[in-house]
Amino acid sequence: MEQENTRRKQFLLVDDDVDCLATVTALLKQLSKGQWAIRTATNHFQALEQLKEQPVDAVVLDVEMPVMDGIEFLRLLGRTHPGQQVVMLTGRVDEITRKTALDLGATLFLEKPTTAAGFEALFGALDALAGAGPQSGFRGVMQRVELQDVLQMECLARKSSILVVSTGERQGQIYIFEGEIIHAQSGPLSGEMALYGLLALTGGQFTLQPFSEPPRRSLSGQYQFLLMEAARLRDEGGSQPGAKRGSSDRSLAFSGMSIDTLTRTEARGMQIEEVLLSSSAGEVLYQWKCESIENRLDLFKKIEQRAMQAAKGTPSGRFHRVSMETGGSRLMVQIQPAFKLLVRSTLPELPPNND
Amino acid sequence: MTEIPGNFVSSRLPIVGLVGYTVHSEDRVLEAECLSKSLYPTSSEHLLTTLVQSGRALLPTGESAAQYCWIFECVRGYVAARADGACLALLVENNPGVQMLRIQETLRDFVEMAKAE
Repeated sequence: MEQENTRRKQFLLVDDDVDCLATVTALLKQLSKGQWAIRTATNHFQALEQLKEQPVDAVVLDVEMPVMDGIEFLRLLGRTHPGQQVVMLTGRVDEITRKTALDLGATLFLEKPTTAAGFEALFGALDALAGAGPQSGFRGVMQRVELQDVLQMECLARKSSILVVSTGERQGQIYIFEGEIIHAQSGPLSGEMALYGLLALTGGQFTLQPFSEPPRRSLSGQYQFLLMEAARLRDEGGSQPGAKRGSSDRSLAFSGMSIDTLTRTEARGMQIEEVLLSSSAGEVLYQWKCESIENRLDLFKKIEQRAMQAAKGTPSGRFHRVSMETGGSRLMVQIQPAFKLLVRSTLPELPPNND
Repeated sequence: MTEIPGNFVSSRLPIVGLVGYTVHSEDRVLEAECLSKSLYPTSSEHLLTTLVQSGRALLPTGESAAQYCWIFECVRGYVAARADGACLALLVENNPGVQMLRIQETLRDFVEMAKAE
């Protein structure tokens, strides 16, 4: 065990795999540039002893351990150290374990990183979780949020930052400059393809890093449109295992479009006709070509009411959004706890598809 | 209104992820089926019927065919509305295992049926 300066961020890493523990510890120490004090334990008994000796900002706990696995130990920690922040790490992400861990109070449930970028993302998440020295503003960790929500917040606040996204297999960056999304990069992809691909990810880690100029600016236009388009593509195409690039002409008819086809055509030629963004209280935050704000605010209200009425008595969960497509036009209304958004757009005439 | 075959949806089953459906004429429910044991048939019908009516009332499309997609945390309601007033509403689980291509195909065929007449 190491005695470290108590003013540094304190972590306890628990993993029965000694090699893995040593590797993770070394990498995180390196990334922290000496700002973290990391202690380790290879079983729950050692971990409890460590915690008794000195509290930590966060326990990083391996899910798969013999005798008492991570989930059982998490349950125990909930009783012995209520309020202790625990981050679960696993080599095999499965939804039931993730849900159990989060229900038991785990702060984060993350996949064990295997790449340098993955370790950086893990470091960023843990660093944010453990808090920082005195500075203005609030700090905190958001759990189970969607990337769209994070982007919305950054854009609405007209901030400049880089959203670094990481999953086990994929990394990417989304650059935000003064509230506009100006560039996205994901492997060899950049621009809209990269942005939509990253926003279609269903889980992973993210960190917000200070802005620096990207290699180039590959995105322009209203962020609301980019986010709504990403949401729509994800909804309509993300779960289509058979969707393939530029598929048959059936794929171009009446919403049966594949993500790639859409990205290649619509996203570049779509005309936005109207945008209205309001707070949940109905205060207009942004509007563009909105002819009757009052009517649209009323529409928000009615849609929300009807959706609630429809879902009553069913396990449908919270209402998110509705879209309506007819001919060449589309209207989307998104209802979120913090805002309401309407985007009306028209599609260009689609060229014949000869694929 | 173009006649809708009684087995229009049932002949396409099973569709993974489809938990219920309703078929509507301009003014009434012609058929309602709940395919999930975790939902009451009346709740499923109520949900889909309300979505159909809400789409018509709040987001009218005149005499054009339209498709609506209502997204909730756990389910989605897809509504294909034809120009003749008939609607097909499908209640679908909100998870990646859903056979979306078949869902979309069913909605599209429902609309195309009227056009073919």
